[in-house]
Amino acid sequence: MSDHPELEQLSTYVDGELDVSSRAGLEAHLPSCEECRRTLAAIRATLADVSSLGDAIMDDQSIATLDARIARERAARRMSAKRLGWVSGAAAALVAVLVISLAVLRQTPVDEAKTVAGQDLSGGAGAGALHQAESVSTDYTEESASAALQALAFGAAEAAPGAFSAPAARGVPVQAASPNLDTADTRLSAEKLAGCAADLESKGDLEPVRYEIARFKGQPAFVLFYRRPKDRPTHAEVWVMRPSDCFTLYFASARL
Amino acid sequence: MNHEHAPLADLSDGELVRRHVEGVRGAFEEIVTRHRNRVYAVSLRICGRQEDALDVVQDVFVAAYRKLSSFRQEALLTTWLHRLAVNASLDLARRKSRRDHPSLETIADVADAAAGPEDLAIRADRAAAVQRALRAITPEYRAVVVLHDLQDLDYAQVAEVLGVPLGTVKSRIHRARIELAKLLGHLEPAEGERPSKVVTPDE
Repeated sequence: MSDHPELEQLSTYVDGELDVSSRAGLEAHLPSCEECRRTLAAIRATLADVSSLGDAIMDDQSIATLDARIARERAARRMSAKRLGWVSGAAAALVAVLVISLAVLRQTPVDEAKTVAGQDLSGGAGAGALHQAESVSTDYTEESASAALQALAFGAAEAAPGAFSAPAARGVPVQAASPNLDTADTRLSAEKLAGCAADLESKGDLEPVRYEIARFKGQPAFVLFYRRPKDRPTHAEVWVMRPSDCFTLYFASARL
Repeated sequence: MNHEHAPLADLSDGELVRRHVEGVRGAFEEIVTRHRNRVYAVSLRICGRQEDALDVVQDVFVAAYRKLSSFRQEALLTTWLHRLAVNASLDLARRKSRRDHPSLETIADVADAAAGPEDLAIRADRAAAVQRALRAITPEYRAVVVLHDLQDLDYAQVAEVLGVPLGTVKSRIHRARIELAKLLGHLEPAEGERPSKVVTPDE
C-alpha cells in the first residue's frame, strides 16, 4: 500500500480543488486503503448533512426590526451631520455668504465656516432652506416656537429675533453650551433626539429642516422643525418634545 | 436628487456603494435587501441561536452604514459583509461558549434518531443535529464550514474573509469536517484518538 496522503487532501479532493498530480496519487492510494475510503465517505456524508441546514431566511418581523434600526442610525448620523450645518438649493450661495459672515463676526475660523457652507446633507431641500444651527441656549415658549415656525415658513429670520440667527453653537459640544440638560453627555442627547426624530419621521412624510436641543419653558426639550410633505412641501411644522420619553409638549403647523 | 429614481435594484454592489456614499436615498436599503439573508445565514450558523443572529445582523448593517464610506472598492462587498458577520458572530460565540455549550449526548441521540427513512420531520431533526454539532466544534472551525460548505465561498474567498493563509483554510476545513463527522456518527474514533465528545464514559 502506498503512503497515506496528507489527510487534508481528502477534503481538498472532495472539493475538486486538488491539483492533478496529487489527485492521481490519491486515487492510486484509495483502493488499497480502507481507512482513507472510510474517511472520504464520512466527509461526503457530513457535507450532505451540512447542506441539509438549507437557507436561512429572515422573517418579516425581523426585517422590520432591522429596517427600523437602520432608520435610527440614519437619523443619528443626520443629526450629527446637521450639527455642522447645511445649505442647499437656490439659496446656497446667498446663505453661504451669510454663514461665513456670521462666522467671521463671531470669530469662528473661516475654514470651518466654509466647510459648513459646503455641506449639503439635506437630501434636497427647497430654496427657502435655512442654515442648520443648534441654538441650544434657546428657551422656547408656545409663542416663540410658533414665531420660529413662522420665520421658517416665510423665510424671515426677523420674525423671530434670535431664533434662527444663532449658528454660534455649531461645533460646540452640547454639554458646554447647555450644562443643565438632564442628559449627561452630548452623545446621549444626540442619540435620544435621533430616536425621537426617527419615531416621528417613521409615521409621516416629513422632511427634517432643523433639530435643536433646547429648552421649552425652562425644561429641556427637543425642538424639531420639518417640512411636509417631503417632495412638494406646503407646510412647515414644529414639534417640541420631552427628551425623557419623546412626549410632544407643543406642536404647530404653518403654511409655507 | 438626480439619482433618486434610478433603478437601484439593477445596479451592481459597487455602484450601490458609490450611490450610498454620494447620499442617494435608498441605496443603502437596497444593499441591505440584497445581502441581509446572507449575513443572517452566516450569523445563524455560527451563533446557533436566532435571537443572537438577528442581533448580529443589526450590528453588521449598522457598522456597514457607518463604515461604508471608507470601504475599499477592491474588496468585494459580499466579502466585506461576510467578514463583518463572521467577526461579530465569533465574538458573540466566544463570549457565550462557556455559558451554553450544547449537551453532547443530545447530539449523538438526535443523530441516531435521524438515521432512519427520510421524511420531513427527520430531515428537521437531522438539521437540528447538524446545528448542534456545529456548535460543539470550535468557532474557528465552525466559521470555515459555514463559509465554504454552506455559503459556497471558495478557499481564496474564505481566506480573505478570515484574514488567514490559504493553507490554514484547507487544514481547518478538513479538521472541522472530521470533527463534525465524528459528532454526527459518520466516523468511528480512530485507534488511540478517542474523541470524548461522542463517546459515553462507560463505552
